Amino acid sequence: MKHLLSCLTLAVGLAAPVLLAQADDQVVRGAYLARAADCMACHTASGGAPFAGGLPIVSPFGTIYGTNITPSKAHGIGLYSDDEFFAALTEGKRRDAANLYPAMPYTSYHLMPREDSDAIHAYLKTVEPIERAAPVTRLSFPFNVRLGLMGWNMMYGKDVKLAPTAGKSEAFTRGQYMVEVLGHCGECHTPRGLPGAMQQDKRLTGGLLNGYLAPSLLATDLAARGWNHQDLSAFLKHGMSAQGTMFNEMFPVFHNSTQGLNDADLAAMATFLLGDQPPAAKLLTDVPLDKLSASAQRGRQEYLNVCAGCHAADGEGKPHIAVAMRGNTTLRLDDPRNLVRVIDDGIGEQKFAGFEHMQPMPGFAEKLSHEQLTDLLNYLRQGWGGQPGDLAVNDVQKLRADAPPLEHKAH
Amino acid sequence: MNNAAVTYYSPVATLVELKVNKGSGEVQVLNHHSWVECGRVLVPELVKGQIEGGTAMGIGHALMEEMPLYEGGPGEGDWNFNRYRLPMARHVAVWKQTAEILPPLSLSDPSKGIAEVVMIPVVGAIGNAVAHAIGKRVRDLPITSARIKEALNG
Amino acid sequence: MANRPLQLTLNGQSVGPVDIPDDLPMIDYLHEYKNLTGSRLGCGQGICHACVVIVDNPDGTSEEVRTCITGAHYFEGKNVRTIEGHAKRDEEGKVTELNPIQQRFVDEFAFQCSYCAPGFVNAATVLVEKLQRQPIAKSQLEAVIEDSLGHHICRCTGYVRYYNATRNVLTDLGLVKEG
Repeated sequence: MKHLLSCLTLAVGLAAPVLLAQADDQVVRGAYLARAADCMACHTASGGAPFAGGLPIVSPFGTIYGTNITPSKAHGIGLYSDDEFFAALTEGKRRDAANLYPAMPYTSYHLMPREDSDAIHAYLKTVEPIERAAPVTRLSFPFNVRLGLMGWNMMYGKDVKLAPTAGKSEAFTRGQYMVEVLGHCGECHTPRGLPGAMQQDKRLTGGLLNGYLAPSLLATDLAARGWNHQDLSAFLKHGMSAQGTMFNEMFPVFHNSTQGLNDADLAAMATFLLGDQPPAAKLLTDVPLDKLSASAQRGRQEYLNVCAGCHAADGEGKPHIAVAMRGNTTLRLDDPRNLVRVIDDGIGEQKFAGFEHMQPMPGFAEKLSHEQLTDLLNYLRQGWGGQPGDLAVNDVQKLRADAPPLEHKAH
Repeated sequence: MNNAAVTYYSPVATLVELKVNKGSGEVQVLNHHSWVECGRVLVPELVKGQIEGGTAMGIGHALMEEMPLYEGGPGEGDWNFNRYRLPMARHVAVWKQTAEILPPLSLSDPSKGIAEVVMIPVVGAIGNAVAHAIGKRVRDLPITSARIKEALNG
Repeated sequence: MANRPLQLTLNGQSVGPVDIPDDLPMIDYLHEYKNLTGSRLGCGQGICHACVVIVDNPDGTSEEVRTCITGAHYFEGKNVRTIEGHAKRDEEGKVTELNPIQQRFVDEFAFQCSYCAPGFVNAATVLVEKLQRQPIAKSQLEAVIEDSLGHHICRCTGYVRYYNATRNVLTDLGLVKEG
């Protein structure tokens, strides 16, 4: 008997470190997956404790608050079992059976395998529990009737599908999972119809978010804007590349998520987006001043007056300080909306990785008239963006009016 | 005699109150008080001005100012205040900070130099205060949010 | 690079039209063409605010504009005040009276090397004039000063005397009401 007991003890004794090691592995893996899925971005308020919720997400249906997903039993998810966590992530089902709003991207996460969900749950259990309730989401009628989501979920909940990857590389398949499921890029970069569901037939062709365009991520469109595999991976890793910097809603993606992903995964994401045989990146040559439209030629003086001080008279930019206009992806978008927004709103101060740190870009909403802005847009887009310089003042005026509510005005 | 040819020093002490956001790793200096004894004071406003400026510089040294040595560093020519972070008014407890100039030891005490000596104890005070706040020592300067997060998360 | 004419009002005087390069930064125009060297070149990229001048808008408001990152031609037709324009001068151009902010900064030892001082003077002057149009409550005073002066960098002073002097000027001019 004693012999048996000591054998058992020895067995348990040996198993324990192995189990602990496995548990540690799972937590480490879960931490990485949580980064890839970017839970932090919606579940952490500005300046708030990690995962304690409270971030307001402005949607066309009202303001939805990210919930407290720390292991607090009273205010967080401390009571959730692995099954219940999986249901929340993949079906948008709360523990009390209420439906989560699809601001929670369960529409993308629904393709997550159980082991990944368990790993994320294991990691979240190690996070400091925060004993404070996040603000309760109260949408106006009829959106406050969560039961209504049952129908919505039946119609749209599982729309996101992974396209078959037969014949594609391993990197492509891995990148597909990183982009379509964990990264849930499609949630912003896909247009949505009236019920707020993603239009899957136009998947990744671009979407509107609070006045800004999340541009098309189709390989042909990326290449047409000058993206290649190396630059796209660098962009995800550093938040900046020759094509510009991440700003507005993309900056938190870099800050909370992509800067922490490993190089192989970042390369895989770029491979998925650009394809195993990426289309050739389109290079542009500068258009000389006398070949620009009349409006664009006037715009040059606007550029020299208020832009060249940082972005340099010849559009070269200044390393570490101001992005170059030449090669910048925002100038090359067909839709001028983002350029209007960024010139009007500016960009707040941004801390990138290592020592990289960008000072605020001022907003020029009060400084440029509609005519001046139109001329400037035409100069930028025709001179460096490969676009025609034919925007009309009316169009620009309308785009300006479509401004999102500004939380922070850049200085 | 030291290399400044003096044997007679101006002692300075600084007390710092700060708070640390354990999520973001950001440090906010809430208040500070310094004591300086610099012998016979000729223009108190200038001594006070040195204290105010020196503590600000020390706060920058302790929490903000950093650049890499050698490659990628100041020799590059692109370094400016967007990357080299200088303390602004909001970083130095501008409204709340106080200081006192202690009276000279005797009526015949000469004036002593103070220059930026006030910049020194505030750095140590901040290091201690951060350690008190988070329970871990950060021994590299500046004590950035990245270093605090690393100390907290291992 | 081509020349084009510039005309503006500078410290109350009409200037130009004068032909200057289309890409000339305003600070270079002030320094090289007008010998107004009080607007200081600090960081050269719009962070330190030592270079600011005041632009008086037609609607009666005023603001500080950074001359190191703004082209001279931006100021075409505009009303600009530099640090050199605040003090009252006699016919020979000698200073007879500083503006309230300048005087207070001198009295309270607000600056040391004075490189950033013109910027602070301009920012505080804009604030004084703004509050003269619309006084504020005492509870907002510190925040309003932080808003106006908060982007200006100073390495010497630690900001304390600039802020206190500004607060004292606003209070003494009766621009702060109870509340």
